[in-house]
Amino acid sequence: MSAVDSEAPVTIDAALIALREGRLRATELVEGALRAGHDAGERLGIYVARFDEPARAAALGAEAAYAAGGEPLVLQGIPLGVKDNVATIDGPTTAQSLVLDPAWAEEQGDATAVARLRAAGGIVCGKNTTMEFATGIPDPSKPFPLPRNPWNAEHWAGGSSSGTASGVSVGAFLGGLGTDTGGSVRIPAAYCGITGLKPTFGRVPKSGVVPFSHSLDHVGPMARTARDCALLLGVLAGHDPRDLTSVDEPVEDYVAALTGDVSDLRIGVDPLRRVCPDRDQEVDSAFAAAVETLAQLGATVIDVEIPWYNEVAAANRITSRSEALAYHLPDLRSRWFDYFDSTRQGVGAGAFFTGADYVQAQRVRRVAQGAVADLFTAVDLVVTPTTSAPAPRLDRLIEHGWRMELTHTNYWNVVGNPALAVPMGHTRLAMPLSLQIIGRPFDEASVLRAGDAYQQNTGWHGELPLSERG
Amino acid sequence: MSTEPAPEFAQILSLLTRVGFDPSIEELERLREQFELARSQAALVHCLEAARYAEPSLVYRARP
Repeated sequence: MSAVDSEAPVTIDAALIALREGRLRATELVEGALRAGHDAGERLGIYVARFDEPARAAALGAEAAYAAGGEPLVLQGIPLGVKDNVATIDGPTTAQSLVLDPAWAEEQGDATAVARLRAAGGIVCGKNTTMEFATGIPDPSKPFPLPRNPWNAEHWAGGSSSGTASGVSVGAFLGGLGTDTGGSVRIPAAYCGITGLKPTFGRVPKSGVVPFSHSLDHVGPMARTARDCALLLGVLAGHDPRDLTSVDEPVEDYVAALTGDVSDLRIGVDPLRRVCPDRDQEVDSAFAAAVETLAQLGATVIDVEIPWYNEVAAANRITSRSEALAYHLPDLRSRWFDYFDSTRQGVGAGAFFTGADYVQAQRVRRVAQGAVADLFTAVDLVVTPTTSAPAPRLDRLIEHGWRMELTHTNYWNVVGNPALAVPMGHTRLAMPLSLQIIGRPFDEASVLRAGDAYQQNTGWHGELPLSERG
Repeated sequence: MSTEPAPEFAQILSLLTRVGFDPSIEELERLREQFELARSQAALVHCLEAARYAEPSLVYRARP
């Protein structure tokens, strides 16, 4: 059965227009999404928990608001998914872990990001699959759904914002929340053929989100298009005193920034083949074509080399493992086997770093920030492939483990710059490939503008998985 | 670049065991691989001379 109704809008932008023009009712939109989520949910492991009845009640409220006239809320009636490490009042937050105390999430209420989506009229359809504490890989021995890829269910959806990515891809909701410590918004977005933004560190509050590595964790929007991510970011961004890492910077009108014009932008191009020389030629071809598209749109394209790539990637691992171990040491001592296999291996590895290693990793972050700032005096954006390979087969992933070096995302968590993943093609076997667009800190507007201009001139973001077409 | 005093796997393992970590033999092997990877990554960051005296930013904020 097809999950996506061929008549249903697949973007937030299109749905809002249809709702405002009265061509679509909020209850129809939400029922269609719930149906798509029901059809594909179990097969692809999209949900940890579904909130069908609260979503239906909220849809009735949205419909009444549209009927009453007046200016609707920014996301009035839009069905959304929330990664299960972000607290919601509708149901439990597990972080897909047997270790996390359910009382923790109950004490949080709605995370600030969720509260902002609801205040803007968004409707939460459920909690989406991740990996335990948003790290590692799936563990089939634990009682949680295995996240599968809508483009080929034998493959992984990517992680750790797995269910949000696969759910957007099949229309179970039109957008949602992910979190990103080393690429967990952008990697599943890349693997599932959707768009995902890791905003600048401090741009979107993390209060009410289960922490893994406090200085690398980010919350970000995921949707089909850069335009939809701009809509969501406009709602999510802004200072929150509950989050000590939240930054009090003005929030731009990200949608207004989507002019379609990139002719004033200087775009630095780093294919990163040097760090992944054995990768498939298909990635290089798709990346070259994406760069050519941006050049044809008028952008000035400049070859660059991202500074200290391997050292910064190592700083991510040292920082994330050390900070995570500080949270989990007491529970690892007493509940080693309750953790996912890859979580206990990965977090336990924090014990292999010394205090001096951690301090030096923070120094690397400081100097890398300076070097990246210097790079951004010569360019306005940098583009790379998001990953050097499409989604791996799930069985091979579980048997052989994860090759993080095939992804090019964690550098930007270390330095904090915003980074957007947009679809840029697919392999011979029809698995999605992705372009990463990086900007200066707090310049999400330029990142989204370039992503939107690219999508206005390419069709990759509009493609649906073969198995899901109506 | 030396990262001495670098920890030994056996030394860390004995600490881990003492505080209650309980890995199987197969997991121990994989932890040993993690140890080698961790130490090579630690060596990488210590090799970055430019960072040696940079002030660490322990409460990290992106530069506006």
